[in-house]
Parts: sequence; structure tokens; C-alpha cells
Amino acid sequence: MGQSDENESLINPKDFQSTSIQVQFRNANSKTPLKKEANVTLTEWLEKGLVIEVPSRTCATGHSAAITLSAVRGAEKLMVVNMTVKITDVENLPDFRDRVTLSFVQYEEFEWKKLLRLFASRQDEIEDFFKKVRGY
Amino acid sequence: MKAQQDDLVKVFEDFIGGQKVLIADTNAAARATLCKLLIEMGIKTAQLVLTSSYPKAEAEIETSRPKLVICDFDLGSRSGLDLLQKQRAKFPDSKDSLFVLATGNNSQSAVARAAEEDVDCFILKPFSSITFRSSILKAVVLKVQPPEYLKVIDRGKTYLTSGQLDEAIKSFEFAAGLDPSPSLACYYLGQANFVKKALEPAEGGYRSGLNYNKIHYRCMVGLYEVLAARKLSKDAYEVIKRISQYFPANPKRLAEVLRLAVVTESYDDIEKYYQLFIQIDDRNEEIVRYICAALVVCGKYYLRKGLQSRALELFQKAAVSAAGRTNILREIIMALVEYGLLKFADEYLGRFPPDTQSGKDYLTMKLLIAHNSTPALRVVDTGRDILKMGIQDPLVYQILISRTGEAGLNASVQDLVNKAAALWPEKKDFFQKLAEDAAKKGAQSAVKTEK
Repeated sequence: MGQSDENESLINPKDFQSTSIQVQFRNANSKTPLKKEANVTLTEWLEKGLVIEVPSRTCATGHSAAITLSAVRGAEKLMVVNMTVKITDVENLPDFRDRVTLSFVQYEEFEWKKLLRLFASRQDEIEDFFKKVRGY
Repeated sequence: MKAQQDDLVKVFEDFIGGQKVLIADTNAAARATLCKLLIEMGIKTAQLVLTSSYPKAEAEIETSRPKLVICDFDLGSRSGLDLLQKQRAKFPDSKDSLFVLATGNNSQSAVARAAEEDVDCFILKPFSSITFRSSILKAVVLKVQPPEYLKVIDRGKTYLTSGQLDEAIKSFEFAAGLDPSPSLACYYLGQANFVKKALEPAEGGYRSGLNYNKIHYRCMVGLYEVLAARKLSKDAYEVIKRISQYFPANPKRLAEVLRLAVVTESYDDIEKYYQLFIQIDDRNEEIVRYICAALVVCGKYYLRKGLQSRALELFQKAAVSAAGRTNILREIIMALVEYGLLKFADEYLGRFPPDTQSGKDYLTMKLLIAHNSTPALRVVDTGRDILKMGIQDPLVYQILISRTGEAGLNASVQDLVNKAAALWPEKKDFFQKLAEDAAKKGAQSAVKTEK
């Protein structure tokens, strides 16, 4: 919307949509997929890994897991990246949640970089928009 | 490169000093990640305050007065921007501190609201440690080592707030020469002239700012305000529409857009906004209320113009969007009754949700329809029953005074007038006049009956 021309509509439903990442996690050691309602969130990109939040006792350090990251905007799936990871750290959090650090074992590097670029370019757009809005 | 980074970290450490850093995020892992990254940047554990909810964050703002706040856009049912407003209202000098939104909500509506509120930094989640660190450091550097352009503007702002308007204007003019795109300086030139009540030069200032940067938020708002002050509704409407294109989802502004659409009789626009509105998943209460109200106003306009089917279509849309909001149904019924469309009014009465059918709006509208379709004595009985239930509504009194007077029950009329005048003193003359008219009408019909 920031780059919209004068004829664009006043209310654009797309302005209210956010691009988010859905995480599917399957522990390869316990072979048990997480329940659909289990909330897994991605909190940090690492150079060759991720930090996610999962229900407690989902996995332990040293376990392997299969992860699918889907970038979604509204009902549209923008891209999907599959990877095999090793759990390198598990930190217990309040409310029966764990902060889990994963490092990639096998992953689609091209897709992974594309996903990072998707978010990095949105971050750049936001910074640019802020500069224009403020005027400095 | 390393030395440069170390310098920046030193600037950051000096900026924070020994003061608190507040992290407000509903997600425990996000809080833990932010904590870890801030500790890596030199913040001590004892300086960190972590909260998981809006009320706790608000309390911490008051007690800890943090130098740096990092919070999510969505904090339960509240927004991180509410927290920023709270902080600024409570501590006006908090502009010296840093407010960062770290959020997964990257919708343009969220970004634009954050920019409107002058958030210092907007970091997308998930982020990498490098992005987080560089975004925070950039924001801190801008805060503590602003460019000359901003320093001169700040000087001008000090003159402006102390009422030295000519000095302020000189500073802003000087600042305008220091930046290739001096929209902010132009904005303050506009502001200084606005304060001087020189509205045309003020408009000129805002327009020049927009020539440099067509989405400069403050210039757009300034231009809107000056046009509104000059009562140039059509021009003001065009500007506020433009603001809303770039900064969507501000319910107060949308209300103003809809108000101006009504004032400028841009009824086709209202219907267009409605079409887009129904596509939005995340509609908040205020937006729903305003769009419904605008549709009803628009419908009334079409009734006035004799375009009944178009009006009915809009009322239908308003009623659907209102989803049982009784004040909207009430407005629709009142408009329909005013134009004698009692059958339709009765249909809308049937749309009140069952749990609201003992409430003020339902019973008052039921009485209004009866008032236009049943004999006086029956209306009086129904009205009295409503009053006995403890419902106080001027329209109930209005109807009762009219029909009681028509029925020749003069003592009761004066009692009703006195009660209504005590409840709504500003309408005392209106109720008295109503009683007099009703008495005349009653006397006339009594004469007719005798004849």
C-alpha cells in the first residue's frame, strides 16, 4: 500500500494480511508428529539453523527432526521449505513450553535463502516506509 | 569494521546507562531470545524486565520507567501501540527513550500504524541476531547523534513551543536548506504558520513538504487540518482519503473519512468502502460501528431522494454488518418509520437478537411502530408499561406525551412533561411544546366527536 497510486482503493484488504511462517515439526527419534493444535512458533533465524518454541517434552538435545516451514499470506501459500535438523539445545520455559535450538543437517539451500530474502526484503521495505513517513 | 561495531555498542551502552529495559511479548521463547540478544549487547540481567501481558507491561512502564521498550504489536487483546501511547501520556519526556516493535505482524496496516505513532524501530519476527542488533543500534544512533538537519528542527520546535514563532520559522527555513528532501522542515513551517493563524502559508508549507515526499505523514495530516479549518470539506475529504490509503486501519480516521463522505455527499464512495470492508477479516469494533452508521446515513439520504429500493439495500447491508448491534437497528427503524415504511420497520424489529428484546432499543422501537399503527390508548398503555420497567428514553416520553395529550388525559401529560424535563432538562421546551400541540389535537378531535 505504501507504493500505491492515487487511484487505489481506500481500504485494501491485503493491507490487513501479514506474512507468517507455519512450522510443522516431526521428531525423528520418537517418530511422533506433534498434534495439529500444538503451537510451534519460529522465533529466530540462525545462520544454519533456527530457534523455535514447542510444547515441553517434544524433543531432547541430540534428537533429529523433520521440519517444514511454510510462508503464508492470507490463504495463499507463498513457499515451502523442508529440512532435516538436529536439536542442539532445549531450554525450559514457563507454561510447559521449550525454546529449542536446531541446526540444519539437510536442507534445500536455495529455498532457505529465498525464504530469508522474503523476510529481509519486507524488513527493508518497512525501514524505507518509515524513512519516507518521517522524512529523515 | 569491528572497531566501528564496538563504538556503536558503546553508544548503545551509554544510551541505556543503568536504566531498565522492558520486554513485553506473549511468547515465552521470543522473550528468552530478546533477553539473550540484549545480554550479548551488554545489558545486565538485572536491568531486564520481562512481561507476558499488556496490563503487566503497563504497570512496569509506570514503576520501572524503562529507557528501552521492546514489545510485540499484538499483546493479547491490546496492542503494543497502546503501550506506547500510555508511556507518552504518562511520561512526556519518554521521547528520549527508545520504543521498538518486534513483531510477526508485518501487515501494511500494522506497519503504517506504527509509523504514524512514530515508533523508533520496527523489527520483523522471526529475525536474526544481526538484523536485531543493527536495527536497534541504528535507532539509538539516530536518537543520540541526530544529523544537523534534525538538530536545527529541534531548535525551531523549542521556539515554536515557547511562542517565538518568527524565530521558529527562521530555524525551519534554515533547516530546509540542510536536507535534499526537507519534508519535516516544511511540515514545521506549516505548523508555525498554522499557529500564527496564517492558514494559506500553512497550507503552502504542508504542500511543499508533500512535493518532496508524497507520503510524509505529518504534512498530510497538517494539510488535512488546515483544509478542515478553512472549511474546505471537499479538499479535506480528498486529503484524508489519501492519508487512509497509505495509513489504513486507523478507526478514528476511517470514521472521519466516512463523516466527510457523508458531508460531501459522496454516497457512492460509502458503498465502495463497504464492498472493501466486507473483505477484511480482522474488523475491529470501531470500524464496524462507523461503517454501519455511514450506511444508515447513506440509506436515509436515498430515502430523502425517493430511491427506496437503494435505501433498503443499504439498510440490509448495515443490519448484516451490525450483527445484532441494537443502536444500528434502531436507526434503521427510525428512518423507515419516518418515511412511513412500517412493514419494513416491523421486519427490522424482528432482527433484534432475543436477549435484547427486553432492552431499551427494542421496546422503544416497538412503541414507535405501534405509535404509527395502533390507537392512542393502546400506545399509552404500552408506553406506561415500558416506563414501569425502568426504561428511560426520550423517544418513549415523546410518544407518550403526544398520545396521552391526544387522548385528552391532560393531568397525565403534565406529569410526563415534568418527568421528562427532569431527565433531559435541555429538552424541556421541546416536551412542553409537544404537550401543547397534543392538547390542541386532542381538543380538535373531541370537537369532531361531539359534532
